[in-house]
Amino acid sequence: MIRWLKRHTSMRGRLSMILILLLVLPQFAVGYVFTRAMETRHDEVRVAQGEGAKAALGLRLEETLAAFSNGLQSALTDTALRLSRTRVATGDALARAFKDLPEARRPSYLGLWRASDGFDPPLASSQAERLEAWAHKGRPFAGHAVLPALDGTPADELFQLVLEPLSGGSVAVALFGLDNHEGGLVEAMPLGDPVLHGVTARDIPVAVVDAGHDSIVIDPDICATFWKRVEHPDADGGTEGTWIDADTGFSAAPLLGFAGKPVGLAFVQASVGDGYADRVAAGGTTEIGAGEIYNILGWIVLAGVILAVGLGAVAPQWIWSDIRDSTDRIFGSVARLRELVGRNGRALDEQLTAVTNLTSSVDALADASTSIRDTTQQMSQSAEQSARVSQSGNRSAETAQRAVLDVRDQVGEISDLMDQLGHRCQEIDGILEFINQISEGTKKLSVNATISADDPGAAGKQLSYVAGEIRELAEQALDSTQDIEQRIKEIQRSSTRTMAATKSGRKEVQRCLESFEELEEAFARILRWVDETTQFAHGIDVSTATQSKALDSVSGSVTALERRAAENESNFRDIEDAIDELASLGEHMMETWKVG
Amino acid sequence: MALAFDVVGEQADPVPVAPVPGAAPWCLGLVQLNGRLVTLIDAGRLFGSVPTSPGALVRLEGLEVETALAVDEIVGLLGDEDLGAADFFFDRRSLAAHAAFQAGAAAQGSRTATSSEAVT
Repeated sequence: MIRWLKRHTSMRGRLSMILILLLVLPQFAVGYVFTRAMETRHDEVRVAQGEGAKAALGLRLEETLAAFSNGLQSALTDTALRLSRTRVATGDALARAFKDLPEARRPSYLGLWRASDGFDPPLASSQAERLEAWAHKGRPFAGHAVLPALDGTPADELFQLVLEPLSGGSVAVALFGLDNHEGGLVEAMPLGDPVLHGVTARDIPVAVVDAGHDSIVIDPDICATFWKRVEHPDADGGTEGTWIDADTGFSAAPLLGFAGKPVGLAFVQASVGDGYADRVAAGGTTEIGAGEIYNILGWIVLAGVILAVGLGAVAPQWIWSDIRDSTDRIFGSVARLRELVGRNGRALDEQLTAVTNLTSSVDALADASTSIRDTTQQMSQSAEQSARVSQSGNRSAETAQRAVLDVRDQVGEISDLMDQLGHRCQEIDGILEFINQISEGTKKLSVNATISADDPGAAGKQLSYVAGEIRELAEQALDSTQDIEQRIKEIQRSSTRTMAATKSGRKEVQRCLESFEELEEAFARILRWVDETTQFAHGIDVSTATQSKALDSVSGSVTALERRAAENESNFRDIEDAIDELASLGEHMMETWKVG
Repeated sequence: MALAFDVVGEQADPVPVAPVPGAAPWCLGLVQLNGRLVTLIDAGRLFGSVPTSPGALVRLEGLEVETALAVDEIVGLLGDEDLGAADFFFDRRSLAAHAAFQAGAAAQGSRTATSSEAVT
């Protein structure tokens, strides 16, 4: 061989061949080592899949593989340096685009997946047209807006899920691209539920997991028609289930979000073609549908490494410098993310404290409202009793007033009678005076008769006897008259006292009547007050009932808020894990590329 | 004061009196009783010191002049056993001896009165 070379080649040619060998052999050696590493990693993936841990593999593996795949694809057309720059630039563009979005229109989740191998069967043209039409109705069709790396991808190659925030803390889910189904707008669902599921307006089953949940949950009652759960052994020797589309073999897996926003759902095409479900069900060596692609990518990586090493031999300084800059920017982003997460965590703690205080306040308000309601009911009952007592008292007062009126009338009659009696007594006085005068005259006459009868004759004796009888009668008449006059005077004095007493009684009766009128007015006022109190109590009762309903609503809102806060806390922990993962990825890049 | 029946002519109610100027103080004037012109004598002033408030008139008989006594009132008739209760008792003889019942006694004024006081 050496002789053949010496004979057929010049010294310059041999030196050139040796130089080429010296350049190419290390590259092959490096390529061999990288290929072995990829094969080892691929074997790990295969083992993990063979143990049925596809869900645990999840998003991060997909992202890592996608990152490597994309980066190496770019290396085919450019260099590994351009790949790094593009990823960083893409991340920045995503962040900027997200910040530029109005707050109300910022999507909670943006996801865009490339059905790189196309759908099987592909979307019908009408579906693609509808998707395009929907995308241009001014809605935040986030994929086109914030993922420039995928701009220009035909709509029928997109497998799109958009969670659009709506007012009132709900999200609307639009799912497109499912085979054999039409896309449409999912019913609005509360934002932050751990697991959201529903059916689109056109009966497309969807399932949504919130941030912090590592596994997707699909309600079998809703999705059993379209999705099939396949059980297979997991890494711990247990059983794990995977949901796949019964027709197309699509499986569901969670994806991380970006820019600190929560994670949504991704339906990724993990396998295309028949037999996937059977392979998953059999466990063990289920292979990702794109495994062949990864093999090809392995070779592409080898070629890229060769090219990179070649370029590295030519221009290493600026490449390493850019790599260092990129990794520094990654670490800077990680630090900023940590700071933001920490700040949000503190705000979340304050929010939890505030919610706890609000819960206590709402409970206290509810207790106070219940107490007010009980007191109001007692007050209403007391008012009703007071009304009954007042009405009874009013009736008694009216009865007593009528009795007093009767007494007044009787006293009036007595007074009139006493007046008449006084007049009669005066008339009797006049009669007695007249009788008195007659008696006096009779007495004088009898005296004169007695004087005239002083004659000692028989006529004188008879006249003297008659005059004595007359005088005696006159004296008796005078005595009787004086006695009657005395009794009449006593009657007049009694009558006068009775008149005075009657007048006083009439005054008392009048005062009593006035008191009864005041008492009646007082009872009327009490009844009005009782009526007003009853109305007030009824108003308070109605207000308290309304307040109780409002408090129940507030309590429900606070409970939902607490749940959301707890979920956000969990989400932040996952974001911190994601940041750690990102930092680890940066360190891994530094170690892999020997940066620093 | 008590008077015996032999000197009492009649009793009468007070009537208008016609005063007599210059007469004695106990002479109230002239009155007309049953068609007779009678000299009216104040019994209180004549036999005592207090003038009479005339409540009745007692016409006297059997005296030298027609006279009547003005008294407060006529209490009644007394029996012989009751005469001791009276402060003064007059009959026709004792009155006829009294200066005031003499003819012209009323016109003599104070002199008659002095004699009357001596009789009393």
